[in-house]
Amino acid sequence: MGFLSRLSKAQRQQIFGRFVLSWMPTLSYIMVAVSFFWLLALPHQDYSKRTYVSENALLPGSANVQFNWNDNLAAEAYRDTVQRIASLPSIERAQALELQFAAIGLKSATQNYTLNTSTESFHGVNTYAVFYAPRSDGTEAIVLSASWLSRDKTTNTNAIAMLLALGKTFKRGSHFSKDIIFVVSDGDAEGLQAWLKAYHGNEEHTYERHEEPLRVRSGAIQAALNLDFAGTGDYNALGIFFEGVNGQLPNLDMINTINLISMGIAPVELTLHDELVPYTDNMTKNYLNSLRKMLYQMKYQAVGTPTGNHGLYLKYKIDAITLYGIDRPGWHSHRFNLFRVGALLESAVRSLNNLLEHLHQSFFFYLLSDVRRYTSIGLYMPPVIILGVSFIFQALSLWGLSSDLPLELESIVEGDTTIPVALPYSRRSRNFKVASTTMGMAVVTGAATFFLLTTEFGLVGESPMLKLVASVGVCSMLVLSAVSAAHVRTRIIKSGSTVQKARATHNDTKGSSGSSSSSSNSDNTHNVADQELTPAADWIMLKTLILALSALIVTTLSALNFSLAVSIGVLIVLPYMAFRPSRWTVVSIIEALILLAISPPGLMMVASWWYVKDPSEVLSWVLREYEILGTWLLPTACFVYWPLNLAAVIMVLLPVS
Amino acid sequence: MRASSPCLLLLSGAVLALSAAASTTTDTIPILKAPEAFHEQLVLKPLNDGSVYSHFQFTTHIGTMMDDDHFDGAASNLFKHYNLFPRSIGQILHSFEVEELHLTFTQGRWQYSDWGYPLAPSAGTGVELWAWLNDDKRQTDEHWKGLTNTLSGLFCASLNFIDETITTEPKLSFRNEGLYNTHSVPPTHNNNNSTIPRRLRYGSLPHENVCTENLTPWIKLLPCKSKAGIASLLKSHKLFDTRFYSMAVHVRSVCEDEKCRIRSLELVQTITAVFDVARHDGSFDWSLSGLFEREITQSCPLASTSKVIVNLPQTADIENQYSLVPHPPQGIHSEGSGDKKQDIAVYDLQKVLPETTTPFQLALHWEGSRPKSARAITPGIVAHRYFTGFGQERGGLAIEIRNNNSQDIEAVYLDTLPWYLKLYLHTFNIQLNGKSLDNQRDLVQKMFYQPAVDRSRPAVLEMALRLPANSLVKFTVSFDKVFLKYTEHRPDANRGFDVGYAVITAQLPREQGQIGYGGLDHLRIYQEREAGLVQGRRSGNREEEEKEGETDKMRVYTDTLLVSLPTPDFSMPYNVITMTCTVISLFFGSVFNLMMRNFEVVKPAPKKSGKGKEKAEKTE
Repeated sequence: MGFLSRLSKAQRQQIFGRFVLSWMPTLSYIMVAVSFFWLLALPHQDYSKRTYVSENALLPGSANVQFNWNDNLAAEAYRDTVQRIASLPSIERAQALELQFAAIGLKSATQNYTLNTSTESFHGVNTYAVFYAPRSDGTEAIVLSASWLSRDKTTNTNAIAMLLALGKTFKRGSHFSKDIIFVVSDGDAEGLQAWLKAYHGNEEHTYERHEEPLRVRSGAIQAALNLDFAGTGDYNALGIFFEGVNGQLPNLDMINTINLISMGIAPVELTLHDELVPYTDNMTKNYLNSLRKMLYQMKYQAVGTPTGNHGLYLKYKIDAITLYGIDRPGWHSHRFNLFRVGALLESAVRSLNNLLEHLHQSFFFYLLSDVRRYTSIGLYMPPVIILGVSFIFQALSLWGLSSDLPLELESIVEGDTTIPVALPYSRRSRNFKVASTTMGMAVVTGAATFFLLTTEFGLVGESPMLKLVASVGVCSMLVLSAVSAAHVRTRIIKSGSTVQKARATHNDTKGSSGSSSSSSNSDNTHNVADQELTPAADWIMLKTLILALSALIVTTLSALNFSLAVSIGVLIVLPYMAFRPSRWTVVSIIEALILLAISPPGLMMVASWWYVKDPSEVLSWVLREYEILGTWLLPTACFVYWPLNLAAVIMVLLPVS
Repeated sequence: MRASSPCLLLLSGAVLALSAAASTTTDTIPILKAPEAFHEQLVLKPLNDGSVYSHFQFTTHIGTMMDDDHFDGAASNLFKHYNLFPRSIGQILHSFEVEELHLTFTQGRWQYSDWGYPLAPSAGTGVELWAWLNDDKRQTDEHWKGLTNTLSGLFCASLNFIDETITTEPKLSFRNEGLYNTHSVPPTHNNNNSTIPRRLRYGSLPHENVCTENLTPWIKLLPCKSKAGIASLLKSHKLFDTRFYSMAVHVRSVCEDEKCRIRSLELVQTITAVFDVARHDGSFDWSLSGLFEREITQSCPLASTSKVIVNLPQTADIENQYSLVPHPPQGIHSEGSGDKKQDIAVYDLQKVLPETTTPFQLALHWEGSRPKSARAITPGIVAHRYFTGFGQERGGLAIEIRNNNSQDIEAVYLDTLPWYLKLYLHTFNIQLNGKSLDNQRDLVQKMFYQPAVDRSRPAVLEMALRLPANSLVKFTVSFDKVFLKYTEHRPDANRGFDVGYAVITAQLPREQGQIGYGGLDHLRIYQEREAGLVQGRRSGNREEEEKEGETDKMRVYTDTLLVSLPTPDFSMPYNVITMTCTVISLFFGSVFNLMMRNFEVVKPAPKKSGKGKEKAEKTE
């Protein structure tokens, strides 16, 4: 028999209840601290492991590279061609490129697309070509893609020239088991998106989206490499971009493959993103560098924006990364030209060609602190779960406060022993109506803001900023009406129940003395049971609800999009846990202001102050990302984050008792 | 000396055949002369994209020596003696009562829009096997099983995997190809009153790789193996380094005379390969020794005919862009007229080779190593099939059939889908030139649909279509993907499952750029007994030819597909997690129990409370 079983059930409940009330708030703050420290420790070297290739079939860099000096000359010739046609209108340059691919002997075609968002209109033409691998059955394919526009907003000349040169190189070989598709997409991300949709037979023919069906196809796409080599010069280093839409990540083996090739067959300096960091032995500097790289990744994951066109593939279960040529004059590493790039790409394609199965090793969840170091899900998941649990603990203690159920015992005399039993009911009534109504209204308001922001009304002078102002107006109306209604209601209850209250206080004192003396007087027991405590304050119920929902959201999101969950969790944990209505109005107002600062519009202001100085630009960017790529940022903000925030603002402004 | 022993063999064979004929003349059965014969041909054709198409065809005949009234098919005493006909095939036909057998191994994809149609009738990637079996004793399924297993052993291929979950019985496609069956001869013909019930069995393996181990047994079926004749060019190193490689065995009964009084069993072995000659240096020039890295030093002594036929390139506008070396001794034939004109050069190896001591050489040189202009190819029907949608839960199938002819085409579409794709026929939708079609009757004239049964038979969709002139017809249908039992996944579970091709059978008007002139049966083209090779064939089948007009029966194959089903994570971490979780839950359960469970005796009633309490104390 265990220690706890010696006690009666009621006593156990009492102990548990006391624990909840006295320790849980403290414990939850401790957990928040632990979680924060853990998160900050993640970039540290001791928390990350060296990457390794998990899929044995890949065999990176083991095949001899065929890309030779003649191919390099061909690439340079193509570079001139691409440069010449780059300035042509979309349709003409797409057709010119189609001819170039056809001349190599590949099946090539173009695809028109139109995309009309609420604010902008896009039209473009993609070019694509398929290299049918001889001897293969064409059930599988690898994609090499490049956009006309580099991430530097210049022409992606070298990348497109490289695609043509590689097409020529591959045509010589007969060792490919998968078809290779070359895609040169127009526009920013919408071009490749239109192509991918059409490839998977999901093309639309509406006014908003029109995508031409594809004429040439191959099999199921197994992996994709997106090239971004802007300009016509040489490069210092190769950057890898991997964050996809809504924080999806490609299999780490994609990065590992490039990593091994860049160390062996085609030596180039490799880095994450476009940051070049000098090597250092200094522990602090190393830590800060890792932290910065990790934050970069988490930032893009949290807002759900891909860092390149590779991000669009992930939705279709195609692993993809972007290879970016970094041109940083003055950087110490050796510069490399198209010859090296060609060898690297050919080796990478050969490696992916080796795949017998779709990449499936458990390598989809990771944080990279360096191109060769990763933190696995087992290490980064606990802090966000601890954060979620701290919310729950706080909510539980509040829930306990609003009742006396586990604390108050009455004694039943049976023969010669007294058995303590719990009261079968709570003496303090929990009025959940106000809290649930407020929360419900907040969610409805959030939905309304989403509707306002994404619908086109066709009014004169309609702009995203105006819609946001309208949304904020709707929200403030909710806050004002809810808060004033609550205050008025408290006043009415107060004035209406003065007489009752006086009697209740009398009973209260009598009851408490009775229970503390723990006598077995049946009259007293009745007294304990009969007396009614004042119902729990509305703000306690509302705060309990907010905290419970926050825990739900943070833990659920952590599985879907870790970075978003961490950002939300870290942002709201302290305000939501610590803030409560104060007797001093000033404190309440300060709390409300802080909550406003972390509300979606507040965060938008902060972001615009940090980046572009123009809030409307940030807003239209969010809207565009939602409409074109379908990122979750706007829906999450409107349906989840903002309602909680509104409820919290209402909570701190509610009357204290 | 080398040639003498086969000659002797042939002589002895002839003697044996004669003696056999002599012995049977005593019976009342009238005997007609049908000699055994072997023909070998190689057809070469340069393709527009620089590839060279090569088609080897070896035909072996074995006479049935019986007339209509007494013919009893494969079960006759045909398979008692073998000279040229391979015994291994004969025994298979005999023991499984096979009327007609077609087995094709293919690697790579046939590019219809670049290359037109192939001479060989089957071009679907993987292995295709179909047979008409005698159903006299209702043993078709057993025989089919035996047949697949035996062929599997004979050709070193996984044909035994064609089990009942793959096998189908098409209703409209894959009709008999033999000449005296219901399909080829008008019903009024007296041959048609055959009462022998026959059943069709069809199966394909889309992901079967073809390699040397399949080629070697195939070569063994030839009378001269690869020692002499055209077959000596078959070097596996070169053959399997091509863009398309197909190897087939066809067995069927054919008529030997116009009235079909004499019949014989015909074994046709074909190898089709498309060489990419322009791969290395971009030059379209080719030579026989360059393509195969081997030479023909002598024709097969057992062969009745031994020919190399070159379908010369169809150039547009500019004449004399190329030169063929050596020039054919009999000059160049021309077939067709206008745009459809096809020049043909024929080399009779039995005449060419004895004249010289050097091996047979053949080369084609382009002026400037590349053609200046080529006549574009527009194949009559091109089909394209692909999966739509993404994710592992549901998907869709889309089939696009483009009819480039200026007339309506009757076609039969056959699609076999494995049972783990649950088709929803109510989602079946037809689009004609991009517009959804309400009245499907005009287009789909007949439709057979066999729903799949889990783990026992595939879904079969067969449609008789009328494709409007110059149109694009698109069918779409949705399906759900089944969650398989974990033991049903292959070792490479994450690769997905291969779904075989769809087949479109159509009677197509003869088009320009089409390789060969098939007619009803492509295989009979080059096997005339008379010397006038191509012309002879046409005169022989003139009646039929006129009736049919200038049409060819073609089968168009779509590409095979890969479908990814919901796959459990079979990886190591998954196993570790499941193990650990199980252990932890067991451990936690028992420990929690010990900690928290309170053993108490329930007090029965207030009166007996004293006794109950004592017991409670004892337990504590």
